[in-house]
Amino acid sequence: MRRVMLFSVIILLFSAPSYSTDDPVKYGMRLYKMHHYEQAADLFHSCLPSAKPGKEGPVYLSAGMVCLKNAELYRELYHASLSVHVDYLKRLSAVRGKGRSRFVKFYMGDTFLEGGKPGKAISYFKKFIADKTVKPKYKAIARIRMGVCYYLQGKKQEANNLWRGLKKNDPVILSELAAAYSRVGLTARNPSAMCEKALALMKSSNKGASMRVVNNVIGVYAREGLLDKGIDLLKTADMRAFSYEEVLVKNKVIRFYDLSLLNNLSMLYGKACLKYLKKATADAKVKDTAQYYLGKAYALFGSIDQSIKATDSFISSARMPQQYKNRAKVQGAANCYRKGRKTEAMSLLKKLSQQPAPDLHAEILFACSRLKLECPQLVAKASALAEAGEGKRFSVVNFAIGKYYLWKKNHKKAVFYMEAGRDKSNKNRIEYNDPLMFVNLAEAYYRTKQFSEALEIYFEMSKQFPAIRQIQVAMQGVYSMEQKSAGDVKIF
Amino acid sequence: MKRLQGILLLIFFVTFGIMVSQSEAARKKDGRPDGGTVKYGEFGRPTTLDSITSNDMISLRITELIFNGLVGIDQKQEIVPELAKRWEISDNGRTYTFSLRKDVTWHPREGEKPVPFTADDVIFTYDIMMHPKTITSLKVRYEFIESATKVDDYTVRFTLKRPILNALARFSFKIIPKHGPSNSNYLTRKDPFVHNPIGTGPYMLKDITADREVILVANDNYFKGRPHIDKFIAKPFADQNIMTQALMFNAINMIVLVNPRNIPEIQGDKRFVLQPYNALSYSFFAYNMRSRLLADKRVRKAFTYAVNRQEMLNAFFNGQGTLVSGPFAPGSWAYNLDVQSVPYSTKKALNLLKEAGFVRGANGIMEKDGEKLSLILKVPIEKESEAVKRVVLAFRSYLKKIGVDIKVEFKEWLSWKEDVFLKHNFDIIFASWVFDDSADISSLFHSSEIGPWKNNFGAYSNPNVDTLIVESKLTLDHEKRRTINRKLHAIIAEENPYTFLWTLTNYAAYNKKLRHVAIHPYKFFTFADEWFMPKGGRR
Repeated sequence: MRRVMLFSVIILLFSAPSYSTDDPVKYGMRLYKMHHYEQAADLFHSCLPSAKPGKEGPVYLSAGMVCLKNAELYRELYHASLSVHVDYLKRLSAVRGKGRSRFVKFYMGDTFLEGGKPGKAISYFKKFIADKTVKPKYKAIARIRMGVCYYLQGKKQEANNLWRGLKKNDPVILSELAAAYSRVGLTARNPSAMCEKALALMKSSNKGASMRVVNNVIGVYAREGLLDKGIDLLKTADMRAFSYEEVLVKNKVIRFYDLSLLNNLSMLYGKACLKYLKKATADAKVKDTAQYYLGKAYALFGSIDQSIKATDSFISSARMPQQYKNRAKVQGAANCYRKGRKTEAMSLLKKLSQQPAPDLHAEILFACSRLKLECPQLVAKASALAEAGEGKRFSVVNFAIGKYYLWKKNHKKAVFYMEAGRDKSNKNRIEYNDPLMFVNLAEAYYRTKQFSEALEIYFEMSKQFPAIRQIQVAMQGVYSMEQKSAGDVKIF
Repeated sequence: MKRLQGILLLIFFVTFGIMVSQSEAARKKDGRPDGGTVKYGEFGRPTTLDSITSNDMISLRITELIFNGLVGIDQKQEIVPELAKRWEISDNGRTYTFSLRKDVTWHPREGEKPVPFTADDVIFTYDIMMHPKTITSLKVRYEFIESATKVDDYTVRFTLKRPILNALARFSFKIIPKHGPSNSNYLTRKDPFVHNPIGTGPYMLKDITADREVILVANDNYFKGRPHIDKFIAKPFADQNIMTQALMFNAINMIVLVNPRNIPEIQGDKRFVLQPYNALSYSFFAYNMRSRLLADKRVRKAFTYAVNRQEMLNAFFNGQGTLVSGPFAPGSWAYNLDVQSVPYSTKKALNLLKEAGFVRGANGIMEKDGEKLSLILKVPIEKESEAVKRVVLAFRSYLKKIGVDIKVEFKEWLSWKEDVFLKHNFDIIFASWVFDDSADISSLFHSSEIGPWKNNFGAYSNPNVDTLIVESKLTLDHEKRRTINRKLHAIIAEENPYTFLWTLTNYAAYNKKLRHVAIHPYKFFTFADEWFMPKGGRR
């Protein structure tokens, strides 16, 4: 009874038997429940300004929850994309002869930059710049990104040298430079104003939207906290668009994508989530619930101290249900671990695992995977629980075990558990399966070379999250090189 | 006498010793028990049981148990030796020399001794497969081979016309015995061998019962070691619901392809495992371009616009699938993500028919030059599930709205195949293709594949498509092949030789007592010799 009262806002929102487009909050939460996070975020973004005074709290809370899910999902997709792109680009790099791609060097550099290896990235950008056949515009882009690498290595002078003297009347160059300044924290150079100018130049050029400009601007807006502008820009952009198409010889076209797009989307939604949830804390009715999600959101973006504060606030609230408090305690233990108090964290997780709640066990294992924490005993307990139980309640624990095994690179077991948690009657539908689980399952299938299973998942997901196109294209590329069949087709 | 007794004893022990050692050598050394029967349900019957003339999935699955190729593919998707123990590839990629195993024998026919497998069988298989009179869709896939030569009894050499991508994997075609077919020149569906084959595989055909159950028994002399399961029985069902009930009541212990509507029932039962596998398949309505009415692209496109595919998918398959926009399945590397599915629009359909010169006749049926737009849709009766029946009736009803008269004919499976593949006596058919992962559509849409028992039964012909298909096969460049396939996808989607429908989700279901089950997404039983049942789990 107490639990029902305490989470009343969310339960009220979820329990509506049918939604009405007249009530955007109910409709938005319905979309949330169906895992249509982008659509829901879009809806909340447009209805927030018209929220009635004194009633904004639940709207902000709902918007924050939706954006948090979006941020988590895009973060997961970003990592999946990085891992597939490394494989794909490596294979492309190995191609020799006249059909060889020149741009693969640039995108290899980009992949290493995104993967946090600026040193390796520089070597690829240098090779790309040294290629005499590459147009100056693309060399300039490579110089800008190489500058970011140097800056990240602490070589500020080299970075500035590379950024000097670039043509700023080209929207792509301008937006690249803005993204570079924003990324390394040079906000005094006013990257957001540069973005405005880049967008204006792009509009006046009548050449149509460049995905590279859109991506750069989204990244800047996300970092600068210009969230409304960022979300408005998303609405007008085709997120499936490639950043460069290289025509090599007749019938050979390679499409490249900016990997940072998925990270930028994660950042944009993450910042929006923090903004909305903080606003929700101003409403006493939903304050505690908002703290729960804030604790998660801060942790996702590495603000551990703030996560500790929000999580502690939630746990200490007398009004909150024990089930959620326990889950928050897992977050608390993870924060504790990140602060270096590893033994304390482990003992807390072990203590929490005494309870037979599947959602709690799932939360514990998710934390273990995130922290790269070996916990075979906890996995064994969760597995026994998953074995004994059935139904939707247990799908989350199967997902958590699968994710743990994915981290452990035991891909067969990862597939086994995630499949056990998958809704077989609605195999590829995100309305019935957690999209986060899908990304992990697709990764596990990809690693076991069951490409078609992975591609089928992404094909369905891309209908709701079109930015997934970059993963699909890279995975199709790897698949085309890996397939070893004799070539057969039969009538059913 | 004592000496004689001693010699006799010695002979006995030596003989017994050899028998024991042979029997031991034939057993797998994985410590898993032998025994038990897998009785699996199939929705329909196999047409033939050999690997050359069969062109349906039910037959393919059985041939996987009976035959072997020179090479195989393991669970990690790596190419592994099978009948060939090793191979050498020349530097120019044109010569493949295979050294064959010497410990392989053909399944013995009753009263006969086992015959050893040799290079002659490999050459025989290649020759008979490529013979102009042999009925097979395999020819087009092996036209890249220039010659096959016997080097010695256990060595064969294949010379390719040109190096091709993944050539080694193509040598996974199944080898049949030289002493198998009654006609040693070419193979037709009239040859007794295609209904009573022998192979080198883990299972031997024992019997086909009056109920059309195909009974296979373990090959004790299988060169990879005797398979663990004693018997495989393929049991045909005409109704998918009954097949599911048979599983629930233990009349069978496996279903190779579960009807999507029955998934919740099986998922809720802890006795069974539901295992996904993606066979890269899709369903379609195909048009016979020999028909004057259907030769016009606008007419075919109008049909596609007139059909609400998403509505059908939702209503008849609970939305358990994905609409496809062209000749590749969405899980394929060749699928063109930029080609969108044709949207449902009766208005556009009517406009296209008008553009093609059709006007409504007195009875509401479209006519052109006095000829009514009245067509025959043929559906195999074995596939006449409730859902399929609804699909074809819905198709008829959608087309009626734009003034097209469709007469649906349900035909017996073999008779349907004859009408479609041999006589080409149809206007429209409803069927599904199942691909392995090669995304090779040459046998479906290349004009050289028009003819009796060939897969381009609708006689689709476009020189541009022919060129692209050939170019795709010739190139050694993966990215080039992807680009070409993207183009093919776009052209074929635009030309509408089929109304591409959907790909449905694939799940196999089996009793948990069956262990170590690995499923090949296309051939299904590739790893079946490793499956086993613990002693307590057998009925």
